[in-house]
Amino acid sequence: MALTLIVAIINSCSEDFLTKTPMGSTSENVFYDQKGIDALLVGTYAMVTGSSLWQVSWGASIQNWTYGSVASDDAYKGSEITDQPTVNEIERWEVMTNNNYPADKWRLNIGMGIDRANKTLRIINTTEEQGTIDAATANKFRAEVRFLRGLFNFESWLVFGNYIPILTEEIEDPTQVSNENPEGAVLNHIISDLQFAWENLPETQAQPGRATKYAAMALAARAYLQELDYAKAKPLLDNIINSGKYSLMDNFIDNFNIATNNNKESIFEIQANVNDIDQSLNAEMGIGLNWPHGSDIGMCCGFHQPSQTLVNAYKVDENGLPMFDTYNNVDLKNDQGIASTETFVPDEHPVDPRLDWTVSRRGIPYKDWGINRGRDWIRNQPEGGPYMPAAKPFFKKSERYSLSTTTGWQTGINANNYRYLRYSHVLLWRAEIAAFDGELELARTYINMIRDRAGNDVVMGKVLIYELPPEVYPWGEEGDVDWDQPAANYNIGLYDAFASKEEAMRAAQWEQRLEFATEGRRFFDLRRWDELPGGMRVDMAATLHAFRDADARIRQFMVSPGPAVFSEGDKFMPIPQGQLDLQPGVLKQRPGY
Amino acid sequence: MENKLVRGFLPYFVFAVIMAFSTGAWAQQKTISGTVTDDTGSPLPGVTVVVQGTTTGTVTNVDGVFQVEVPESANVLVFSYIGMLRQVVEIGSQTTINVTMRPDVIGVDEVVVVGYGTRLKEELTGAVSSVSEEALQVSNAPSVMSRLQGQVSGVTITSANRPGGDATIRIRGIGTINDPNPLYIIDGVPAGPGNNINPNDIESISILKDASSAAIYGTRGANGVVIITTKRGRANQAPSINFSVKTGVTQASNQYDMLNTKEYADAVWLSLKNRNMELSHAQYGTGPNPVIPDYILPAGAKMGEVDENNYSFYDNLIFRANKEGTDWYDEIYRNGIIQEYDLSVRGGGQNSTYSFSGNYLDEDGFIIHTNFKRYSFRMNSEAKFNDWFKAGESLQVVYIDEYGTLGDNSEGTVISQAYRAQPIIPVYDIAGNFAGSRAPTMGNAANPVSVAYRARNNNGKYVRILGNAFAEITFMEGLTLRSLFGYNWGQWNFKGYNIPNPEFSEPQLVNGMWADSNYSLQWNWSNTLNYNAVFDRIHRLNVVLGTEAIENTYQSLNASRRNYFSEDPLYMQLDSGESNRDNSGNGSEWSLFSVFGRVNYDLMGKYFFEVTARRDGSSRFSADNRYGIFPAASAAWAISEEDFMAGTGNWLDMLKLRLGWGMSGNDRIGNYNSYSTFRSDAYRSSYALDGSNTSAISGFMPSTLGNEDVTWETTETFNVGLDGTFLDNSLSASIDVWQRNTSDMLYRLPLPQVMGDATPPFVNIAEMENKGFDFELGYANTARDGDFRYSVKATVSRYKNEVTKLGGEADDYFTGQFERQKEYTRVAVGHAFPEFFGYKVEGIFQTEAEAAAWPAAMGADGTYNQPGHFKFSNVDTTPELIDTNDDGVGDTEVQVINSADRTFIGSPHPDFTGGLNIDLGYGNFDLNMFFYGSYGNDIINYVTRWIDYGQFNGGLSKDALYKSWGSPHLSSNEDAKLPMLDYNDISQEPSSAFVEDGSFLRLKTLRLGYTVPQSFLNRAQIKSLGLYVQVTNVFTLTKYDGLDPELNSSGVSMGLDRGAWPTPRQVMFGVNLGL
Repeated sequence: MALTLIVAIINSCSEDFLTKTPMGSTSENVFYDQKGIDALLVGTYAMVTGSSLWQVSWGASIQNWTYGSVASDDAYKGSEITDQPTVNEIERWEVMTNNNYPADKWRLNIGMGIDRANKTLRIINTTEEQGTIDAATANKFRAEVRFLRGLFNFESWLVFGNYIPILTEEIEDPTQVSNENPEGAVLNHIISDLQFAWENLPETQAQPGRATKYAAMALAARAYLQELDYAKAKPLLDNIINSGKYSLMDNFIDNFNIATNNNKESIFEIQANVNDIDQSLNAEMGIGLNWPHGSDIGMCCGFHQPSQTLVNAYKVDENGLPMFDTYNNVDLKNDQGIASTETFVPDEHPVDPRLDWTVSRRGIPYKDWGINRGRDWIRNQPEGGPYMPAAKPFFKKSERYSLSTTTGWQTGINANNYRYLRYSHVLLWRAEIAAFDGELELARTYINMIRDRAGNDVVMGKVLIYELPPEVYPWGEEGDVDWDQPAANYNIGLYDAFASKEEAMRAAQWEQRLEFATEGRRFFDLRRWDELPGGMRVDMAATLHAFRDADARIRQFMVSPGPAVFSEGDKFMPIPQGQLDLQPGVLKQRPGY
Repeated sequence: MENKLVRGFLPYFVFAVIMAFSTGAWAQQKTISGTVTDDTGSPLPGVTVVVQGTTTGTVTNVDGVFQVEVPESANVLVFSYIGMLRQVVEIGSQTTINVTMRPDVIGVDEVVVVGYGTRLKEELTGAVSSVSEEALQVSNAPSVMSRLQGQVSGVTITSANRPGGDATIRIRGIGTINDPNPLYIIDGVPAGPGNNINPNDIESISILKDASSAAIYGTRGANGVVIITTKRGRANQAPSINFSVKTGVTQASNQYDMLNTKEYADAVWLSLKNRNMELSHAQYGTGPNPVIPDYILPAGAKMGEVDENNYSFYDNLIFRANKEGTDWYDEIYRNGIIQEYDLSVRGGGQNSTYSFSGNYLDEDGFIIHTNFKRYSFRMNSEAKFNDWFKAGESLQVVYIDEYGTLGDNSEGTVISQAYRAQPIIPVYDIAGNFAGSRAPTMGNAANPVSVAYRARNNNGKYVRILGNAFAEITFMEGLTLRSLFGYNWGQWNFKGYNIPNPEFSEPQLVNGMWADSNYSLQWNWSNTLNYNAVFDRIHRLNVVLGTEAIENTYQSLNASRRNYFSEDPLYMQLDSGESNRDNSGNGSEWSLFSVFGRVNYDLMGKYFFEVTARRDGSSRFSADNRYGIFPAASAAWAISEEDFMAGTGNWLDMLKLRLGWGMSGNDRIGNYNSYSTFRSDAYRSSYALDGSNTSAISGFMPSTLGNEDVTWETTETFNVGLDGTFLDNSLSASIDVWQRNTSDMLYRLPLPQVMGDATPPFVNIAEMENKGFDFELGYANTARDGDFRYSVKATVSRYKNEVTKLGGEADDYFTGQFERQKEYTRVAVGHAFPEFFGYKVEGIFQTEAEAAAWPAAMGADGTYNQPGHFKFSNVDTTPELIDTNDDGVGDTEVQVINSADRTFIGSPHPDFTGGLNIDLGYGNFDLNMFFYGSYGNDIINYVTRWIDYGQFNGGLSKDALYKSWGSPHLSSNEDAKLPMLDYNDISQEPSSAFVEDGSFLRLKTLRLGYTVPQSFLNRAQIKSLGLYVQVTNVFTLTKYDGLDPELNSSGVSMGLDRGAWPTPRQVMFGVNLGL
């Protein structure tokens, strides 16, 4: 009888009881239509923010503040020596193969971006084969996805060079794809994606975040420029200029204000938004450390402080033109080692007005946050230098908590879009090509357009006292600050003429340095200019070593305990050791690591 | 697997058959008869009567009468009965022998609860430890698991020290890289571990340590099983009421030895000198000596320079310097109060029993603003309706209510902020608001007092209702069907507050509230058929057949808001927050259906055999891989009962050899491993394509990759044990030697990122091995005519763990715990799970020449190597090709120290752990001492990266100033304990410099009790009254420099000390009253 009971119990227990399906997620087949593809496309776009919550973050930043800026003469790591020590390795060109920053860059672009793009492409193919969408619709989706795949590959290529696996939607087993590529193969792959994109994308999109024909062209031009393939970049840039779709904004700062996100100068912006979800990390978490730390503004964590060499580069001569050869002989006065309450008389040497939009220094108004109070506003001056974290991605006090995050600890994260590709890029790249080709007048025209615009608008508010009160502004007597006067002695002049290709090229390079400073570009520009022939070449190692030695006047990090040395092998990041270990024999480390 | 099963069974089966037929020949007979009664004179049926050393015997009938034919040569009869002392009677010339059996005072120990049944201790064939009620009372800990520490061998337990903290328990090493927690069964209901049961309600705990005993739990038994049985009333028991109270004080036992303000300024100057930097600082001025300022906000200001009237909250805070230095541990520690009240009523009539109990525990943490309260209620009852039907139930309700910030062992806790905060920061500013690191150069520590204070209303409320209802039908003598329906419902609610912290260097200025809620609901229905029979008096058979179904549902709900008009916790509800209306939630389910059986066969009380099998079907695996069978077999041989041992009777009471083998499984790998999924994620797959500044469009991303081929991991255990009691039962010893091999271990085979970022599935690929021994020794005796009582019990456990396979390659590994971008632990083939990983430090460079001669370290082109820095071992001597002519191609071979030179630098696994219980009694006084120790384990003292090396510019240790290389306080740099204080991050690489010996010996409890003599109590009609005083954590012998060598960290962070709550010292007074 008992046995009967047991058998009955067993039989009554159907397989249903043991079948449990996951909650809150879905399988692939729900995506085989237009709505599904668009949902996956949005998920692929999400990776252009260069961050994915806590999984990857600062090392994957699309602004490349580490590889493009801290590793160059634009900026220091900032903060404190013991915070994020793996960035010390990047700054001192001593990167180890197990450094977590390049590992994040690899993971975000290859593991997330390219993988999502390829999965989306496969689903587009399946959906088209099933007849659910027509060929035209399929190609429109493909063009967007391939633009994104081109972007993720470009970002990987910038950082790791040619040692990246070329992964397409057709590849069955990506684990067997080598990262040793024939000369030019990676660039060709990037261009083939971008070309498909520009051939199939519309000139404009209803949603400003989506890629357009010109975004694909601009990115392709940048890719060609990395290889100094000026001939191929030129028609793309001309196309963009001749389209008439873009023009410069009135003011330089419009490229860095939330109010002027997605403007007429923008070609492709990385969209940022805050406060719709818990941690507000659809804005870029990759620069989440790069905000003022402590004291009156108090966010996190004081990284990415501009260098003295960069500040000096904004010095101009009596004509308002750069001091190409002498700019770094004497420092523009800084307050390193001077207490906030001690007397500090700012330098009256004339400077390019873009300096104080790019770098926040003592005694100059910092957006609407008040007057920069110097040392008290810096997390650790001896270790991070006298300047506030790079100012461009920052926001206004009046925007705090409406357009900056109200949650988490990286409270500087805000809705300021990163202008990844913009018309000023196009103009200055075209000027560089013109200089190389000897079209000196064309080069002068485009460079002067940028300089002319830069003079339109300067930081206002002259501080008339040199001993600042201990409180945050507003303080003291009425009239301590004259808001009708420019904050410093600004001057910017136009070039009258270039005497030679070399002179034109130098001006084009310098203009990019000033216009795009701290935007994660400088290192990669130095790397390509190192390859220019003759008098146009900028010796990268010499430039960086000169910076190292000059900035030792205020900060010991690059020379202590011994001088940091930049060599050829430091031009690219190592392939992450963890990935080499997972694909032994398939992935190869870059020589020199 | 099937073949393996047969091969495994066969030898045992053959052995069993041979033994069954090996009965001896019989000599000439005589008849002996008599009556057996208990100490009240009632006849005792069922008493076993055997001729010592033979299988000849009988059992008393219902009137307690026996009659037995014995050989002429027989001279001793042995009478035994469960719960009674064994009686040994010389036969001599007697033919009638009347015996009175006396209850065995440790009688309850003799019955051991095993899976779906009970066994007599002497019948056990597997490795089962049982813990008595008394042993559970040695410790005060609110967690039952903590109380098991050192009481049983083969079990490694580390307790957490926060109020109400739970313990980590590992049975015989670490059986898997996945969830190695044992299965817990409370009164037949699978349940979570820990503090959600009242320890006073527990009758006994059995720990099934080997697979031969745990295989009956199939896929859930691989990490051992802890079976908890709660107290019930006994039939015909007069109501007994017990009331106990205890109360006392808890306090912290240790703190870090930190610099005061003056010393800290000196250390800052030392570090500036070490780095050739200008002697200038925002707070301490400029010059050869630091000057302590009067204010730190404004930075470095002197008295008179600051107009305190300008103070305004948030915009112009003013912090005076604490010139002596804030002792942050003084500020966060306190004497906490603990109180516990326990009331129980038990009894029973002829046909029913009852037991009620209630318990209230209120424990303050020794950190300010922390508190744990537990209310528990239990009702167990049972009714017998007639000869063949009885039914009963158990019901437990536990409600936990905890307050404050209870985080443990991480850099963000109150304990950690206290070493991270600089001494010059005062607790409060000039207006009585909190002061903090907002003052320049104060690093990024939060004011620990403010952290505790602002979290004081954070509140977790937890309810668990657990119980069962059962019915038993007895079909005939020895055949019983038992059906049990169990339920286990847990509901967790938490409410936490974000309160702005403007004094902090990385402030969060928007207030907010978050609420978490989740529940899990589980039911199980088990049916067991139990058959007991004795054939020919010498063959005892017990058969258990059963089925069990379990289903579990889990749901979570989390929500938060920001921007509250008022910060009154009553006002701060989800409804009243004005922005960031965020929520999340999800669910999961699993189910299990099983059929199982066990056969026990005893021959002559000398040879014992057990065979078990369970077939499980689990929802966690795909339909094709859903079912698995877990077999086990074991045997025991009571050697002392053999004739050839007759001569040892004067010193040996019992000697038993046990052998066991079995397989059991582990299915705790998450619930949906076989499915590939996509999901939407507000953070990772959403993007503001429309250009909105405040909202994103949601998209989808790959979430998981499925693997349909996966099945459970299997652990195969071999066990050999020897139990003995000697010298009239005063000495007992037991040793088990065992090996556990885990195969098909589930491992998330790491996929290279070219495969995407979806969570890879588990695959059955890895293997692990544990071996070790468990040893227990006890001695109990009396002296001076019983006035002086003493007993000693020692347990020693050893395991050795090794990962023998991961992905299939000999050098496979996966990275373990990262802290601040650095890998501290690693799991690799050929090593234990986990071990410490990093550089080996050979010393500190003393001279330029020594440094220059050494291979360049960490890609630093040789600049790191200099006097005062670490000399890292060049473990990997493969030369590196470097590029000397800068053409991008390596051309010269050099030796360097880089990430390839990292190696295994220590292990958190102890060689031995042990407990020692000493009970002394004289008259009405009892003294109990309990020692616990661990030997041979290492600890990574990660806290030193902050306080010795200056990570993040926080508080510094005395060693940083007085014992670092180049310190003016050292007579010679050869004596330096630490490298130069220069904050160099290469010196902070995980290395052997952070590894310390974690061995310790601790007197965990010392308890003095007094039992009020019965003569005093009789007049007041009190049954018993006891008073005691108990001190926990009396002293610790250790070389470890951190707060406490007893670290509760498990998994890949095992042995990593990030600043854990130290073991408190508690002084308790208690009264036990019985009516």
